[in-house]
Amino acid sequence: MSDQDVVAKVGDLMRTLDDVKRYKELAYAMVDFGAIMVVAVIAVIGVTMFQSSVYIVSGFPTSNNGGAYLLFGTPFPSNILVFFGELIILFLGLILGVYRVDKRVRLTKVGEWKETLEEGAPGAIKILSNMEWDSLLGTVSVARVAYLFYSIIKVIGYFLLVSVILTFVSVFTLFSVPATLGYSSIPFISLIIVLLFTKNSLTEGFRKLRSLDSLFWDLRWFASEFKRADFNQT
Amino acid sequence: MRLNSREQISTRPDLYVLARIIKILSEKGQTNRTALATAAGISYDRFVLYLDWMTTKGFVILAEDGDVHLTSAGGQAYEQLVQWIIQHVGQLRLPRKG
Repeated sequence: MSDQDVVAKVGDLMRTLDDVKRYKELAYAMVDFGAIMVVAVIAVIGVTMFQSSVYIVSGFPTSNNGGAYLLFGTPFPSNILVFFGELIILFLGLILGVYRVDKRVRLTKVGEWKETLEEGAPGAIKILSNMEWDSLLGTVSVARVAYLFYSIIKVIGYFLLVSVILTFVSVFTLFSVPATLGYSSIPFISLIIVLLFTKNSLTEGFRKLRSLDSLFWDLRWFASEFKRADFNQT
Repeated sequence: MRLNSREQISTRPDLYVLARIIKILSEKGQTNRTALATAAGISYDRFVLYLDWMTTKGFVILAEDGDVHLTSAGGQAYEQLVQWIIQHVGQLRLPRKG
């Protein structure tokens, strides 16, 4: 019975530490995701600038009856093909970013302890004895920051996506409204929509953050107790 | 083969190996040294060092016929170690799933 108990307890601990590893990888992957999205946005800006230059050179300003389409004050291309092209660039960036994150998280090495734990209590003892506590505490510590970073990037990503969609909708539904009036409220509307839709996710994120914080301090205590225990002083 | 004092000081027993030896003895009862070393997955030379250390601690007894016997002290030490882990790992506040 004791053997089964110790295997169950250490199994729970190791599964939690596998999750921590995934959070850490997720955060690193989000940096990749951010970089891909930045490149996509730079490409969009480049295309817009190129189109504007072409218009200036050819004598046609980027405007619709004198009122430029604006995304947060930045001129948007009036050519519908270029506009769709830019949407496709952003969409491809998003898909590539999501694929990159998914691949990196899927490739995280987890569960390597399972075979050892099948030996029962000696396996559990081996896992705990071989644990590099300092490195592990560092990983949990990074995972805490990583999870916060992941939540922030996620909200920013949704915010940008909603902003682009709203701008897209505005361009076609408020065609006759002067751009400078309608578009200035898009960031606020987008933020409210994103906060409403990610409320549960954000609450869960903060709960996870607090539980990772508790885990960090508990593991620190456990590592210290394990090193000081009688059986490790022999 | 006996450990000299220098070897005894520098040799820190691996808890995993100790636990394996005790578990095998508690499951199979008295066992001869070669079989025990094989079951524990360590070389005979290393096994002798462990056997010497465990005998000194009173965890096992080496019978005249060469078999190794687990003592109640050995069984208790193993049980205490397992209970220590259950108790301490059980106190960790692991994040809930979902």
